[in-house]
Amino acid sequence: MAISGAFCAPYLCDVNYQKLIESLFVWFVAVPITATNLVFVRVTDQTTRRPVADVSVSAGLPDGRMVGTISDAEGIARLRLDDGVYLLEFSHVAYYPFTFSLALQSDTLLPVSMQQSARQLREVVITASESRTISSSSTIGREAMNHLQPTSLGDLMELLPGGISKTPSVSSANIIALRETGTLGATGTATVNSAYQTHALGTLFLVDGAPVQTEANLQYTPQSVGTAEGGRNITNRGVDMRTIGTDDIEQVEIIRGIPSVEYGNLTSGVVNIRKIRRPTKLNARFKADGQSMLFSAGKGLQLDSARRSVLNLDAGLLHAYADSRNPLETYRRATFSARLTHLHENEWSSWRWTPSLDYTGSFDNSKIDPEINYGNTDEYKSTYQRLAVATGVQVVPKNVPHLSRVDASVSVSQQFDRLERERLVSPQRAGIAPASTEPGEYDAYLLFGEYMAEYSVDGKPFNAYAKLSTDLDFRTDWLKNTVKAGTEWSLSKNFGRGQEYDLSRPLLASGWNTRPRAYYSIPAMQTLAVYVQDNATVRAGNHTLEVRAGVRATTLPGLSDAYDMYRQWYADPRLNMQWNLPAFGKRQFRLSFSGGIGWTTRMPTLNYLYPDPTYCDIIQLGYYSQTDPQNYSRYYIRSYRQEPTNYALQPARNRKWEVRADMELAGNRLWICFFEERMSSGFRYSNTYGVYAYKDYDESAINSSALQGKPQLDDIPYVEPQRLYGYSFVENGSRQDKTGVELEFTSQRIRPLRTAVKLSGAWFRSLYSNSRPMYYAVSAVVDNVVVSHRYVGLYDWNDGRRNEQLSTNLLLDTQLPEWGLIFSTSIQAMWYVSTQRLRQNSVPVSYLSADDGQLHPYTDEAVAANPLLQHLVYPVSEAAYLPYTIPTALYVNIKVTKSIRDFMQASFFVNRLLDYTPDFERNGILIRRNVSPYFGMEMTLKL
Amino acid sequence: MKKYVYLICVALCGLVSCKDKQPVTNRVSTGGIKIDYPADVQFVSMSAESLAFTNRTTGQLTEAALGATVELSDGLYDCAYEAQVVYDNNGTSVSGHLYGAASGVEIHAGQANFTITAYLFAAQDDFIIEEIFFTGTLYPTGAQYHGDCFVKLYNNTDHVLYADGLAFVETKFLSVQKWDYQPDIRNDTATVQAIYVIPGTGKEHPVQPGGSLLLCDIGIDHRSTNANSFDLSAADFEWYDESTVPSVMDIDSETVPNMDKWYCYTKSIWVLHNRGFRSYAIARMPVDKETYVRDYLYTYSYVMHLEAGDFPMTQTAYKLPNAWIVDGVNCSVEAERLWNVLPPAIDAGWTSCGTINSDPTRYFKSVRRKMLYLTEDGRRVLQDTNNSSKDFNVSCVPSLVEEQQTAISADGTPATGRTYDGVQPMP
Repeated sequence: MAISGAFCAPYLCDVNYQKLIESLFVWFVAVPITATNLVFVRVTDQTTRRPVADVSVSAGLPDGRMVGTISDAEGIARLRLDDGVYLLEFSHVAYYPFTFSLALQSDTLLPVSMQQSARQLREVVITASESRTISSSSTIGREAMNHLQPTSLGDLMELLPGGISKTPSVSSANIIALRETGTLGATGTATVNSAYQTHALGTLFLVDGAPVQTEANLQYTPQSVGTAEGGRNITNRGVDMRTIGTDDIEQVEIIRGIPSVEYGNLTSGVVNIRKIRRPTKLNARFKADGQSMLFSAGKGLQLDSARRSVLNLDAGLLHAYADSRNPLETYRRATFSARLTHLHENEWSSWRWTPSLDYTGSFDNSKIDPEINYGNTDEYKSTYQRLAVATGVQVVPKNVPHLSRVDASVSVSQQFDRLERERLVSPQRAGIAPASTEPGEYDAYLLFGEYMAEYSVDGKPFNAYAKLSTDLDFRTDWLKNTVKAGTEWSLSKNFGRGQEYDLSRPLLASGWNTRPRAYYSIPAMQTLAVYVQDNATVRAGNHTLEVRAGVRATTLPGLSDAYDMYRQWYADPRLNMQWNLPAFGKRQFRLSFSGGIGWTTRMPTLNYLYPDPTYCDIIQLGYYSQTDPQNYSRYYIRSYRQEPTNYALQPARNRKWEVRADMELAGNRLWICFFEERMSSGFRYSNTYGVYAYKDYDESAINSSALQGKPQLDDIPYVEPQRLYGYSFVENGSRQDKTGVELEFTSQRIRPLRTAVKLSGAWFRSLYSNSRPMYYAVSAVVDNVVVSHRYVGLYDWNDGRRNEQLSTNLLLDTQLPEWGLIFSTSIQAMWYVSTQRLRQNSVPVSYLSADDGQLHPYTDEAVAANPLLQHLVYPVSEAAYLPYTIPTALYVNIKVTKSIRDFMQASFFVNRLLDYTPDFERNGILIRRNVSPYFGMEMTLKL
Repeated sequence: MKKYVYLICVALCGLVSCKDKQPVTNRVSTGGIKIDYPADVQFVSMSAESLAFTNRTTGQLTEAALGATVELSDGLYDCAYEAQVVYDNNGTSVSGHLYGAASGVEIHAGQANFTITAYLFAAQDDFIIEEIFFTGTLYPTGAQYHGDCFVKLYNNTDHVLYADGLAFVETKFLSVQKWDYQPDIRNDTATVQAIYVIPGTGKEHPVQPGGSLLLCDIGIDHRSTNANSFDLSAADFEWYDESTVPSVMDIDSETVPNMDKWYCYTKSIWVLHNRGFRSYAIARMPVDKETYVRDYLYTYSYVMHLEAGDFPMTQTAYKLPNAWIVDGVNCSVEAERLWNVLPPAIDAGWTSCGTINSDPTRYFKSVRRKMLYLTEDGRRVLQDTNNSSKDFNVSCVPSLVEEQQTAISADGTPATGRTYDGVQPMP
C-alpha cells in the first residue's frame, strides 16, 4: 500500500523546532515484544524523490508503549510488529511530521514520501546571538561552532562583539579577555602581564552548571628560567581555553553584562557551557589546519524506549605544533566525556538527573633543538590532567504551591599536574646555591662548571563543589515574581608533592632564592556563598517592565583568624532592569531599554592566600681558594625566610554598570550597549623591602697558605651591617578599568541573495595601572656602595597604560539549504588600536633607609645632606607619554560548510584571505605590516 | 658599474710655502677635503701628510699622500688623516703626530666634501693598551663563559712606569647606536659608565720597559669551572664587584688584588661587552675619588628616534676629560658599527673580534696591538699611531691562551705556537 503526499501535512502550523529535535531522536530499541510482521518503510522526499535518512518512525502499541526506529541513508526503516492497529508517526527536523493509522496483518512494504517543511528550518544560526534578556550575553550554538570550525573554546571568542579572528597560539595559554583590549606594549602589541590578570581569573567557567575551579593550580617555576614557561603558566590566570574542546558542546552562553547573583566568585563575566545531552548519531570529526590536527567522535545513546535515559559519549584528540616546521614544540589534548541524562516522573514531581564523568589531558612540550644549541639541553614539559565527576538533580514539584524548581548539583574534580624542566646550566662564572631549606647561617653549595638541573612540580589540585538552588513563583494578573534563593560551597586543596629538585643543582646558577615546597602542606580553602534574587515582571498595558534584584554574600570559611577576611562576608548587590515598549506601527517596531548595576567579588586563589616564602640569602663570607677551589673555598651565607603572606588581602571587587537599547523592525534588529567597569583591588605581586642584618667577614684575614681545609670563622673578624632586601608580596594593587560600547545589527535574510547581513562591533577603553604606591630600586654603585642596598624610593606613580581599540565585524551569511551549502564572508576591521603610557612622577615621595627601616620624606634637604639620594630620581621622557596608534587593518575571512547528503559535512575556512593593512609612518619611520592567511578544513561524518 | 673619480689635487692656501719658523695655516683643503688643524698649536714643520680611505662596503683600504690623486669608486668611506709634525712647545721644537678621522663620508661622482679635524698627538709617556680579551670562552658544550676576560696594559717606553692611580674605564655609549647626545662633549670629554682604579700611592706598582700589566675580571684558575678556559691567578689586578647577593656574586681572588670601584652603572657584576660594542680606555685621574664622584656626575640627554616616537632620554653617567685619557681603543663589529665612541684625539680608528652582531666565531679571540720591532735586548716595541684600525691585529688567539696552550675552541683544541702580537710568530 502506498501513502501519497496527500497524507503529509496534518499540521501546517508553526513548527516547534525543539519538539522536532526531540522527535527526530526517538529511538525505541529496547522494548521486548513478540514481533511477527515486518514493516518495511522506505521514506523519500516528495520533491526530489531522494531517500530521506534520519526519519523517526514510531508505532504506538496497544498497551500504550511505543516502538520505533530511524531510517538509514537509503531511507529504509524496519519495524517488527504483531498483528493489530498501530498509529505510525513519522518525523524529521526538515520535514512536516505526520501520523498514520495502520492495520497490520502481514509483512508490509510502506513507501512514504515527506514534504519539506519551512525553509528557515534548515537555515541555521552561524554567529553568536545576543540575548533579549535582562543582561547582555552572547549565545553560541552547535551550528555556529560547526561553521566556525574551532579547535578549542578560545576560537569562539571572535564571535563576541569586538572579536577578531586570531591565529590560534598553541604555545601559550589561551586566557579569556571579555570587553577589554588586554595589556599592550609600547607599540600596541599584546603582552602578558601577570599584574593584570584579575579579570581573566574572575571569569567564571561553568560546564553543565559545575564550575571549572582553578584556585589550586600551582604549576610554575618560582624564578623565571628561559622562555618556555612564560605564556603557559596559568597560575592565578583562570582557565586555559586550550584545554576545552568544543565538539561535545551544545551551546555556550557568555554573560558579558551583570550576571545573576546565582553566579559568583567572579569579577568579569560567565562562560556557561552546556554540553550535548540528547541522542545523536555517531559523529566523527577530523580537522586539520596550519598548526593542528584534531579528531573527535561522539554519540548520544538512547538507553531506554521511553526517552528517559540518554548516554552521551565523546572523545577527542588534538595534536598541534607551535610551528609546523618545529616538531620539538608541541601541544596535545585528549578529552573524554560520558554524560547520562535521566528523566523520572511520578505523580508529585518530575526529576532530571544528570551525572557526568569528564577527563581532560593537556600536554605542553617544548625543547630546544640540541643541534642548534651546541648540544645544550633545555626541555619544558607540562601536563595537566583533570578528572571530574559531577551530578545534578533538578526537581520540578507538581503540587507544591509557589515552589517551581529545586536544583542541586555536586561535583568533584581531581587534577594530576606535572611540570618538568631539564636544563643544562652553564654558569657564567662559579656560583653558589643555598644548601638548606631552613633559615639561618650555613655554608652554600659551590657550583663549578656545567651541570644538568632537573626540576619538577607535582600538583594534585582537588576541587569540590556543591550548590542548592530553589525557584519560587508568585503570580498575579499583572505581576510575575520569580524568587531564586540558594547556597553554594566550594573547596580547593592541592595534594601534590609540589616543587621538587636538588638544591645543589638549581635551574639557575646565579642566585636561586627559593626552596622546594610541598603543596600538600598548604591549607585547603573554602568559599561559601548564599544568594537571593527576585525577578519581577510587571505588565502595564502593553508595556512590560522586568526588574531583577538580588544580593549574593560570600565568605571564606575555615580561613585563619590572622587574615582580615576572617569571617567577613562580602555582599554583591546586583540590579538589572528591562523595559519593553509595546510594538507599534504597521511593521511592528519593537523597542526595549535595559540597564543595570552590580558588584562582583572574586576571592583570592590558594597562591595569593599562601604565597611561596621568599628567601633572602646574604653572602657573609665569600672565600675562593686558589689552592683547592673545590675543598677549601667557603661561602657562608645568612638566609632569612621572609613570609610574604599579606594578611590584609581583600577580595577583588568590580563594579559594573551598563545601559542598552534594543530595537527591531521587520526582522531587522539593532542593539547598542554602553558599559563601564571599575576595579581597583585587582591582585598583583608588588615589591617591598625589608632590613636584614648580617655579618660581613673580612676575607683578607684568611691566611691561605696555612689552610688545612675550609677557613674557620672563629679566626675571621667581621662587622655587622644591615641592608635592604626586596621581595614580593600579594596586594590588591591593580586597577583594571573597562569602558566601552558594543553594538550589533542583524538584518533579515535578503531572500533573492539568500544572505543575511550582520554587523557587530565594539569600542573598548581599558586602563591597566597600579592602585597603590610602588617601590623601585635603582641599579647604580657609587664608591663601592650599592645604592639600592641602602636606599629605595617609594613612588606614587601610575605604572601602566591606557589602551583603546575599535573593531567591527561585517558578516555576510549566505545559506543555500537545498544545496546543503553555507557560505560566510566576514570583513573584520580593527579600525585603530592605541595605547598610552600613564603619567609617572619621577621623584619619589619618600625613601626607605637601611639604617632604620623607616620611610623618610624625599626632600631637597634630604638630598643635599646625602648625595646618594640623588640617584633615586627615575627619569621618564616626555615623549614616552605620547599615544601610539596603529591605523586600520582590514581582513576578509571566508568559511564554507557543505553537507553531502545527510551523512557528511565538509567545511573549509581561510582567515585573512585578503587584507588591507597599509604601511604607516610613525615618527618618520615606515612600518610595514605583514599578514599571512591561515586556513584549515574539516570533515564530519554522521553514521 | 664601477665609476672612478679623481680627487683633483689643488693645494690651496699656503701649505707649500711653509718654511722654517713660519706658522702653518689652520686649514688646508684638497679637492673638497678640508683638514682643520688644532688652532692652539704652533707648528714648526709638517711632513708625510696622508689620507687613508676605507670603503665601508668592501673594506678596501686606499692610502694616498695628501694632495695626491686616488681612484675611488663611489661609496661610503671612513677617512683617516695622519701627519708627522714638529711643533713649538714653550720655545722648544717637539715632534709629534697629527691624527684626524671622518666617519661615513660619501664620495660620489668625483666629489668629496668633508672636513677632518686633526688632533695633535704628543707621544704620551705612559701605558698603552696592549690587548683586550672581551669575548670570553666557551664551555665544552658550547655555552658562554664570562669570568675570564682580561686587559693587558704595556709599558712601551724605555723607562719604568707606575700603574698606581691608573683608571680603566668603559664608555657609556655603544658604537652600534648613535643618538644626538646633548650637550655634545665628545670632543673633549668621554662619557663613561664604569671606572675601576688601580690602587696605590704612586710608586707601588712599577712596570718595567717592555713589561705588561694584566687586569682581569676574576683572577683565578678558571679551568676548575670551565676546562676550556685558562689561569688568571697570576694577574696583577681584578675588577671585583663586591656583593652580598648570590645572584650577582663575583669571586674575589685571594692572589689578585682588587681595583677600586669608583663608579659602576650596575649593581650586578660588570663584564666587558662580550660582543665588543663598547670602547675602553685607561686614564690618569688627577683628582681624588671623593671629588670625582661628587663633581663629575654628568647628566646628558639625547633624543631616541624610535618608531614609537622621539624619546628625549635623560641619563646620568660620569664624564672623563679626554686630557686625562692615556690611551683608548674603540671596539665594534663591521656589520653594526655606526660611529667611534672615543674621538679621533684618542683613537682615530676601531678594532674588533668578529664581523657581525653575536658573531659565533668571536669566542676565544682578542684584539692585540701590533709589534713594530724587537729591540736588541728583546724588548717589544708596539705600534701606537693612535689609530686602532692600524695598530691592532683583530680576532687573535689571546696571549694567555698561547702561553698556557689552552683551548682555542669549544671542542678543546689547544693553542699551538706563540706570537708576539697575535700574528708575528716567536722563533
